[in-house]
Amino acid sequence: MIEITNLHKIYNQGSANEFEALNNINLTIDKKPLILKGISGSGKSTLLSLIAGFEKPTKGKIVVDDLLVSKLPDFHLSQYRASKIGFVFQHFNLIDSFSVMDNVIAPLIPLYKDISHIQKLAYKAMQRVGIEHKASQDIRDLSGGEKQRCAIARALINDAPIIICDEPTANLDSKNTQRFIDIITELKDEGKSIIIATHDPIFDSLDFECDIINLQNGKIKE
Amino acid sequence: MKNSAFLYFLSLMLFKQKSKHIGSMLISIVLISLISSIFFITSSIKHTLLSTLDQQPDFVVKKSTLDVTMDSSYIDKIATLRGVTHINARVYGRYYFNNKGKSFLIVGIDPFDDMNSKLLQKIWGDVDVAKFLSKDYMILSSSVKEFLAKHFYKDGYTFKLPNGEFKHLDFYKTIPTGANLISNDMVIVSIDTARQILGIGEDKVTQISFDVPNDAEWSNVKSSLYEKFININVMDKKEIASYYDEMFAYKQGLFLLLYIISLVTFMMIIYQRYSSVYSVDKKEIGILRAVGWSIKDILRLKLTESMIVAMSSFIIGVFLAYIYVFVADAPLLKYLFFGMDNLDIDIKLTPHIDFGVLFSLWLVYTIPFVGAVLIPSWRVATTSAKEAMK
Repeated sequence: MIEITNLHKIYNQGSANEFEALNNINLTIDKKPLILKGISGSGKSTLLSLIAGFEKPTKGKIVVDDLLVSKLPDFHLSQYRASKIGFVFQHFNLIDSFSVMDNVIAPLIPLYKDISHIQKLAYKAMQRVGIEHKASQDIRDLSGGEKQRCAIARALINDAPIIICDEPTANLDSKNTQRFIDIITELKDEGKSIIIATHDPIFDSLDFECDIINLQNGKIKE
Repeated sequence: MKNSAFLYFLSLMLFKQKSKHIGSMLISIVLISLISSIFFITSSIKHTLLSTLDQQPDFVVKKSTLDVTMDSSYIDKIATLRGVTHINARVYGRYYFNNKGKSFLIVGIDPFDDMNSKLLQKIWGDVDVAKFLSKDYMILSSSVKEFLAKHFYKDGYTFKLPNGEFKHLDFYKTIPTGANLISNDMVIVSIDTARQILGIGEDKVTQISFDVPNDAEWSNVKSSLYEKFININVMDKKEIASYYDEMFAYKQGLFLLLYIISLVTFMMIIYQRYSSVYSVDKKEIGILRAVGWSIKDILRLKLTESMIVAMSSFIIGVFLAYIYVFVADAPLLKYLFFGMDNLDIDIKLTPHIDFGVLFSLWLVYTIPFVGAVLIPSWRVATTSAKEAMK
């Protein structure tokens, strides 16, 4: 369970270009998927970054399964990301010179000693998203949809209970978008907490039950 | 080890992104092989000179005036000093070859003298002294032999004596090339023949050498000599050794300075590259941080990666320098140390490596190199992953 209380994020605080990205966000996320909607700059990505522990809030608390994420020191925050978070980025954020397999294994390198064990886990993750046939292919040779499946496989390899997706369909065609929704549906059925930030209207009419929250100027729009 | 996840990922960083490392490796190899060559050459020369010095007498007395000869009576006077042993007279001097501006160092020796015999053994190994003295023979360096051969003197040479007469000497033996460092323009003849060629009378010598077995007495002996004689120059072995040191430290220092300037420039380029706002490295670090790598994990990876690049460059650079200096005999570069003013030098450098210097070179290269990679990597790793991935 993710509990967000009185969350604020201000960039460049105290300087002339101070910008308040999030203002007093209060939220509880459990097993029901959460769709964050809002236009660009509304604070969706910032909220995801804070939940994932990429950055720290200016004020407020984020508690994930009794873990006060917003106050964790860096080393524990890395462990939190490695064990609890699977993140799918809008621009995939893959290492272009690496193969699909080598990108997928990256999160587990600091956690396990045996590469063959990690590769087995990676293969399973790739099978789930149907990219295993491209395992040895370099990222730069993949299509947008394949890159995204690789990014999802990387997010799944650590069997994280929380899957966070930032604009996951922004660079996909309709066929790959539907494929992504199918994968998300499967993950939801497995009991994972799913948070998706998007302004794609397709997420308004999903087949499964989910919470939809609109963000506007860093605040939750009632 | 074979299945190590860390090593596997490290190999990916090194080989899948080899273009990233090739540039810095190539520059490193060139810099290291150049400076290592300089160190190898100086180390080899110094070692050869110093090992030759071991065979030399403890003291050499010369005249410090324009007339370099001194009276043979000096020998008896020196012999009266306490602690002095093995006194020898030497007749050395330059013989100029017609109008070519080239000269030979004529060394007159008494082969039966113990000190000379040790030195000669070192220079040319076994020699039949009786045969050498039985006729008018000379022993010459390969450079002198080659020079004379170019002027059609194949088996001997006729010296023009100061009294206008001529003296023909046959070639007896060539000094091995390995000894050319100390004997490149040397012609060894008997002491009487040297007196004839150089025009030095029976009662004159050019140098007097002797030993003082008790080190503690060296300064006393030296002071006594300066009190006893005027216009002389007394050199002891330690002074000669420090002269060699200074002579090569000066040239080595110049190159070290050049090396440090090049290295600093190179490190700044690497630092700049790793600090570059939109670099691929920065994004990679951001991605790894985002998927759960800690700052320590990132630094461990970057440290190992840069150490491997630095170590490989260093080993290759040193290996190439070794081949260049000790196999190829350092073409071009050796002339910076030996000069080209007299005879063409034909020197075989004896492999000798000063591991202390090599280790210092490794530190001087590796610490800035690793620092130039690690500091920007650490700066990126400590910023937010979101920022780094932009």
